[in-house]
This record gives sequence, structure tokens and C-alpha cells, in this order.
Amino acid sequence: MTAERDPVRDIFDGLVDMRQPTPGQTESARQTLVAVIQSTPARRQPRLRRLVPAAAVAVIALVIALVAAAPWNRTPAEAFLGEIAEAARTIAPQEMPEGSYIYFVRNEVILTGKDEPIGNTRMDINYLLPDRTENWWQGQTVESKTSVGEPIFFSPEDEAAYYDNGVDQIDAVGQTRTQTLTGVEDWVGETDWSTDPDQLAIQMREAAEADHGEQPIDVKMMNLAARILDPKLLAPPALRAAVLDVLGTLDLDQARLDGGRVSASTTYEDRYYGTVTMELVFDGDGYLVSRQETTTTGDREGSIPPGTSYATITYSPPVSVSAPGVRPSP
Amino acid sequence: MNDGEVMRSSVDDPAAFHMVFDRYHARIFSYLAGRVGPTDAEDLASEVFVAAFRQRAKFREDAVSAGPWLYGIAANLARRNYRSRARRRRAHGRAPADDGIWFDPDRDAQIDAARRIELLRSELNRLREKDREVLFLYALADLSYAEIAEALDIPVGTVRSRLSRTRERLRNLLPDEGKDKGEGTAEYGGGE
Repeated sequence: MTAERDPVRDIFDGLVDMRQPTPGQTESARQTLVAVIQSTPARRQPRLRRLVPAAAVAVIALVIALVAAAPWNRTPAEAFLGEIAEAARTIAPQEMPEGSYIYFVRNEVILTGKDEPIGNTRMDINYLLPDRTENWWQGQTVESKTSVGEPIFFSPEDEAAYYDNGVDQIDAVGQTRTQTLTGVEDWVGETDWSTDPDQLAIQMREAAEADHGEQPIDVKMMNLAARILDPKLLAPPALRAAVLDVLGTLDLDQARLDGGRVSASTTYEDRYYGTVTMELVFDGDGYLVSRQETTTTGDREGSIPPGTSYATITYSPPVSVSAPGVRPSP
Repeated sequence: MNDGEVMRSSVDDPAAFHMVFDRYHARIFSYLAGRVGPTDAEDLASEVFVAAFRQRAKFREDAVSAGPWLYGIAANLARRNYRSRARRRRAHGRAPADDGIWFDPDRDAQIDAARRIELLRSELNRLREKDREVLFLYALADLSYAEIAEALDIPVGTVRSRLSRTRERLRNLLPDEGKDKGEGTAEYGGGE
């Protein structure tokens, strides 16, 4: 750490609350760490003695992995995603003529909240706010047209407070706005993802492990899969297939849905949302159709009822169009 | 024993990791308090050390200080915490300021400070997230360019160029001597 002073550092002086922990806070953190450390056995074997069994375990794991990967050993669940992956591999990549745009529609229903003063009233309400966005992407530039729908409330009191205080105007309910963003960067889109499922699995796992969030690794992998398959990136069929193959190896619940679609889901404990089920749905060509997070218990603050899907995003398949504002012919 | 030696010994002797906690908890807490506020900082600071302990085997063989690594984890957790809160509080047209920092509410009540905070919020909102991360590690954690590069796993030149961009953005908020210094951006320039 450097003692150099710089005017940029001085800007923040006295404005930011950078307090020290109290003794109680330090002790609490220490006890949490102690519990984790105590549950971790000490390893005092000489390195060589550790390496021999480790190598044996690695060989056994490799054999098991090879046997498990054999087609006749696939679980039915794994086969659902595998079938779509195989189908995706047979599809020709979409042609993107020079200067064309990727067009798709994204529908969102997202948990929204307000706990700030609106006029003279302090509000604390939560609601689901739907919107529909048409997107025209070209490289790092996007033109979008968003229409905001009617909110969905969890109580009549929240609904009354919402309209009485004019929050619908703030949310632009019933309105449509158009905006153009340039220089939109996305490291996922800039990464050279392998189309070999084994290599891709390694890449994805490394990226997921670099995320220090507390979600289980399978959830991080699902999140990453959704980002790789975001329509704006127009993942080629081979990459879509490889992502599906990787998802098929995770410990997920899978199901076949109507219309050849397949869902993959997992359940985990979230700090804010309680028990959460995350679900991705793919169509028969391997395109991401939807992504949904549902709290089965309700959130931990008790402000969202059990069974609420607090984030639902559905996508239309991406297609090429000639210019912003142009829609594909039906 | 330097941090690197402690980290490496904690792979075989987990209890050795307590030394890392003793050396850095207060600093990490303080940084997180500045990022997410004291309430969430308590949980996140604890998470930083649990995450670091679980990943201690991945600590770089040649690293001497654990500070940049811990700040890197803290920055990730702060960013995730902010996104999570922002998603919950998102509202079109009047979302809470997405500036990734926690201003002192007591100072916010004072008129002159409130004005400075308002200006700073406005500028921070215009910064790219990754530029802000560099700025916060520089200004709040007092890390050097090399330490920030290590914390965020980016080249030192990238740190320089991001801070240079940020310096330009914040020019109006700099004290006069800072503005003069800031004009020589070549000093902080670098290829990204």
C-alpha cells in the first residue's frame, strides 16, 4: 500500500464512510472463519506421499469420466440437452451480411422496489415491472426500443401507494423509449470460447470459479451459459451445442417441454431471496428461450411471497436485419 | 513470515490462516464500508476471508503480499452486492445512483458536503464500472498501480490508462493543484 497522496484520493476525503470494524464485528468475523477452519482437516503428509494417491485418484476419475461419457451411459436428463446439442450442430450458422444488425425481442418481468422518498412520502414497496425491448445490435452498439407494462403488486396497499405517489410516471408505465448505446463492452462476448465441450467446460469452470460470489458453482455455470447464449452475441451452432453439452454434465434437474424445448434448473439458497430455483429453457435449435429465478420460500425480509418469479427474461431467436428499426418479415 | 509464506503454510496447516485475518480484516472492512456501507460490510468482510481461505491453494506462488488478492476478492463481492441491491431497487427513470460507493450519511446532510457528493455521484455514474473499480482501489484502499493490477488481474498499463481516464472525468472536482497535475495526463497514461 502506498503513502503517496494524490488529489484524486483527496476527492473522497471526508465524504465516504470508511469506518473501522468494532471489536464485536471483528470477533464475529473471526468466529465465522474459525468455524470454517476447524471443519478443514490439516494436511501434514509429505508432498510425495500426497501425490501418489492423488495420481491414483486422477486416473480412476479419468476412467470413470470416460465410461460415464459413453453414449450408453448417459442419464435420461443429460440426454435431453445432448439431443438438442446434436440437433444444433447440424444447423448452418446464420448469415450476417456486412453492415447487418442482430434483431431480437427481450421480455422482462423484474422485481423492482422503492424505499426512497417520493415527494413527501417515504415508501417501501416491491412490485414486478414488465417491459418489452426490441434490440438491434451491431458490434458494441445497440439501438433499443423499450415499452413498459403495468406493474404487478403483492398487496393492494402497495398498489395504492404506487399510484397515489405517481411512481407510475417515474417508471414510465405505458410509455415507450428509444435509446442508442455505443461502446457496450462485454467480456463474455470478447472471450474466445472453445466449441469443444471438454475445453469449454474447463474455460467456463475457470470463469465461474473466478466469480467470488456465494452461489453454488453450478448456478454460476448456468449464469455464464446464459450470458454466452445471449442472443446479442449470436453464438454459432457449434458453440450453442458445446454449451448445452457442458450444462448436461452439471447436477441439474432437466425436463422435456412442449415444442421440443428443454428446461434445465437447479435450486439453491440465496442470501436475499431464500430458496431459489433458477431455470433456463432452450428451444430445439439450442437457442436460449428464457431464464427465470423463482423464490420458493419468499425472500428473507418477508416482502416477496413464496413462489414469486422475481426475474423472468424471455428471448426471441436472433435474426439478421438490414438496419436499426427494421423488423424481420413474419 | 511474510503473507506469501503464511498463505502457503496454511495449505497444510489451516490454522496459520488466522494470521492473514489479523493483518487485514480491519483494512478490508474499512474498504467495504466505503463501498457498501457498514451493515453489509460486516458480512462481506467475513465472506472475503472465508473465500480466501477456501481458495488459499490458488494463491500465487511468487506473491509476497496477500493484500491485493484480498482486495480483489472484496472488490468482486462489493460489485456483486451492489448489483444485487440495484436489481432489487431498480426503477426506470429514478434508479438509486449506481455509483458503487457508500457516502457518509452524516456528511450528506451538510450542505457543502452534499453538493460535493452530488457532483461526485454524477461523475461516478458516468464512469465505466471497471474504471470505477480501479479508482476505488486507488482512492479508498490506497493501493499502488502494481497492487491494483494484481488485485484485478490486469496489466499495470491498463491501471494507468483507466486512472488517467478517470482523472479526466473528475477534473472539475479536483482541488486546483490537482487540476494542474491532471493536465499532464501523459504521466498517468498507458496503453490498454
